[in-house]
Amino acid sequence: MNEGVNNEPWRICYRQLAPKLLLCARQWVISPADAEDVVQNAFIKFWKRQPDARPEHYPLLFTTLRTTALDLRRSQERRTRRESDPSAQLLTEDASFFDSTIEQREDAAQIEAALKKLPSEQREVLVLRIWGELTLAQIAETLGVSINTVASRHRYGLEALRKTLKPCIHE
Amino acid sequence: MNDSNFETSLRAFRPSTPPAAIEARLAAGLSNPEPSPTKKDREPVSIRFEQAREPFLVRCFHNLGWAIAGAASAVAVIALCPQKPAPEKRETPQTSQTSDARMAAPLERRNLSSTPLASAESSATPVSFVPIPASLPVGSGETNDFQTVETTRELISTEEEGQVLYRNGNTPMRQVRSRYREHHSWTNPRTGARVDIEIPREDVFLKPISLQ
Repeated sequence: MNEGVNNEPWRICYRQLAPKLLLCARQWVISPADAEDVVQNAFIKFWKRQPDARPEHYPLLFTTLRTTALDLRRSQERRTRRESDPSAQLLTEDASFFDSTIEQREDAAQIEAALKKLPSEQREVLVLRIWGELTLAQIAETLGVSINTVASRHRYGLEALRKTLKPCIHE
Repeated sequence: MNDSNFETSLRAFRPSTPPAAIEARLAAGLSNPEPSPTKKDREPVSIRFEQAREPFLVRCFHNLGWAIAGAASAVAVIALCPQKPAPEKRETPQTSQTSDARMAAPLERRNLSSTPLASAESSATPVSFVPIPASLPVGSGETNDFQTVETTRELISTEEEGQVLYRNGNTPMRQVRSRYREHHSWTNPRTGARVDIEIPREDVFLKPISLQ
């Protein structure tokens, strides 16, 4: 019985995608807690619309995730402007982007720092491409921009990341 | 290291796993009784909505019903409207009958009267004038309706506009344009109210050209 519950299709899908979704969500919202909320809301929204989702539908989940994240961010920005809430900016440095081993920990921190230095447009493309494992066409659809724009953002982002990480990524 | 290898080396760093509490919240969220959208709801918005097709005869009777209703309402309106007395005919000058009158007749028939071209050349004088009666006979059957008192037409000008070809260019015609001013008056014998209307009018006559 319990095994049947654990093998529900949505659980399989979620377990497969959850880390990628969380990492992507963290590129769009301020705090890790908000990113978790975004993942949860986006997944529920997606699964209710696609109860028979297959892997080819997964890019749509990233689109839903981004829409949900941007909605949340806009409402937060409105609230921040309204209430001048200084705590909103303090929530940024909570959790790491990556689950790293002890050996990887330093490199992971450098990658995270390098990612945070990138322009947000390049960063979201890189995260969707490298860790979201989407194709450039799927990213273009997710972001609502042309594939050429995605390709150039990917190229420039990768170049910038490579320059920053040259000492720590071993060839 | 090329881009692909660089991406692969970055991919070796696994994104952090979300807390298990999210999965529990998802289970609760996905099992809540809010009805999930049906397949019909998930169809594209730009779907073409087909109107329910009724049998042909039903549609005919449906349209016929509307037509009958419209006709009945038109008849009712006509029946309820007060009938105005027909405008009194006034004396008109005799139209010169020429051999080409047959051609001009359809155009002239639309006018209250036709004016001969010869007289049209003259100055703008009233063709006819019916004086307003000093007092209208008021009988016992007097109503509150307006009655026609005067209808005149004043010829303002007549212009010869040259030759035109009529009926696929086979018949040469002379085009004559006449401008009139019509004057209509109604009065209410009971209240003495009077309504005057002046209407500009323009007629175009086509006169066949006799080549003999």
